[in-house]
Amino acid sequence: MSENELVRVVNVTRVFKNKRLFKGSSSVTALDGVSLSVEKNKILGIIGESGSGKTTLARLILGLLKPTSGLISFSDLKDESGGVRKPAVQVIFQDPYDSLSHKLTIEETVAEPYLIKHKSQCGADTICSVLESVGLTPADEYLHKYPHTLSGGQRQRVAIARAIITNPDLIIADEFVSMLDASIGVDILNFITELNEKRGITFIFITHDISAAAYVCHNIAVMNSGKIVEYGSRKQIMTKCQNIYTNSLLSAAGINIVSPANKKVNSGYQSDHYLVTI
Amino acid sequence: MYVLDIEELTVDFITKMGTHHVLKNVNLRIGRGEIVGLIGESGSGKSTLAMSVLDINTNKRCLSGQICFMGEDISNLSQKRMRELRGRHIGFIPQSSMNALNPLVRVRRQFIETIIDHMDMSEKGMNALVSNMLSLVSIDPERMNSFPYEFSGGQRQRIMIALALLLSPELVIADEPTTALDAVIQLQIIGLLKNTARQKDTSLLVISHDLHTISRICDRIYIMYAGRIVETGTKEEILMSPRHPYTQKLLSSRLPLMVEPVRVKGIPGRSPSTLKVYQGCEFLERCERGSEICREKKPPECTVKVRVSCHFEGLK
Repeated sequence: MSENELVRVVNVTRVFKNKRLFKGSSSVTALDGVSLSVEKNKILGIIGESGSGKTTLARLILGLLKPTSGLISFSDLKDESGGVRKPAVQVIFQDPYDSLSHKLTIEETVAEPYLIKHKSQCGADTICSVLESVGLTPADEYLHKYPHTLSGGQRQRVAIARAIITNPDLIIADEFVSMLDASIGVDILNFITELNEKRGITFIFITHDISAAAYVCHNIAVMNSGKIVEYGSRKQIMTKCQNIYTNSLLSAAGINIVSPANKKVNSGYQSDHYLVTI
Repeated sequence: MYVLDIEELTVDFITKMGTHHVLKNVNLRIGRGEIVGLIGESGSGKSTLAMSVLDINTNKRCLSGQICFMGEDISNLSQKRMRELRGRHIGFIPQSSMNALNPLVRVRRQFIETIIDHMDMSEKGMNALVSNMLSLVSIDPERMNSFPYEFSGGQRQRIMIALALLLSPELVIADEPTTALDAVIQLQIIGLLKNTARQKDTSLLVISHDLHTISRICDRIYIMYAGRIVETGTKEEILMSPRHPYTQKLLSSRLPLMVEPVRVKGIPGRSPSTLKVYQGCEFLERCERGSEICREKKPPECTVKVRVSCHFEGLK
């Protein structure tokens, strides 16, 4: 494995079998020979429509599912004590209204992953600092609240807090802004970029919204019916996309790319930027 | 005559926690064949407006103001008369309408139920109408005997549109018709809504929090914030020259599709509580332009003449 890789997915296929009592069994191939590498300290976007296998891929990397065939390997990371360890992986789920337990306070919710990983209680200071780092300030006010008293954006921040408390190397974010209002979603996306830049956390960002992916991701993989149909840097995908499906996604996002030569481009942006209009 | 003319509609919900002021002095008009968008963030009262027009969800509700449909005041109509209006004259595409179909009843039966309730029609005529409507939304009429679960999310959404437009109502209210759908399918659905509405000369009220998707099909747009209409105008006016600070921020929080990274700011702060009565402007806490007058006095209401509900409008 090369230096920059964190996770490598090689030729992974996943088939779901459907056993029926009286009729013959049927099967669905959710992933069909997918190969992918996740680069260190980068945000990888996976876009595609529902049923394209995005979430299956995420669950395979998380280890929640086993691949039918193929290999998923994690690179070795240096330990603080000089040894080697495998990267820690965390996940943020789609719906902030369902992913937090109604019966746990914010403090308990955030402390839970720490307790599971380290088998010891987490100090209140750690929880406060994590809550503050996700922008829930003052943290003391939030500690004893229940999720139902929080807004959607705040809940999603709690979900991020519980993901980063174990200091993961890789966070898989599954459609986690699609439930939020646009104005709140933007702030959460900005926060993801900040986490990536400051803490060096690698992200796999799963979405069906190509503009959200283009906003945060360094690299983008486009999936369609279980296959990766296109992979490239943000710039490659947006200016030189080859695949028809990627093109239809781009045009669905309402774009026509205006080149810098065109006068319509807002002069506030640097010349290398392409402004996209409605 | 307007198809729908709402004047000074105020809706409160009285609960144990106190009175929720959900809609405050809302004025809204929809002309014949017009497609009107109502945009606002979650909790701003968009859906309550739709439900007030349809007279559903009336529990603990306190309503004042006037709702005129085709020149008739419907805010105090009897339950029975309201039932006749709904479905026949006012169609409704509910939120998350993918799940709005009865899972245990075949699609054809659900269409026919609606027809029987409102009209006398022969079995043959009904079948013809149903298959006609289904092909209008590009669903194979052969499949009308299927159950809802046999269709995909986008197909179910189209079936709901067909169901709402079945009896050619004068007005159709679509509550978040595209949320929870894929980008490509979203586009299909709103295109379909527009075409069918135009074909049948139906007026359409589209409610959404996504200004950018919905604005593509609208003639006019109302922007709602904290139960109040803050700006209204044609699509071009709103998109090209937004005047109210909230609309401006809403537009600038759109994710740009740039090749090089750019940063966009969301709208800071949180939306105001419906429990509180505000003396001044509700948007003050999140507004950069705010000053003394915003704290003390309410900005002018959006009516037919006033386009923007802001103290600073017209000063520049």
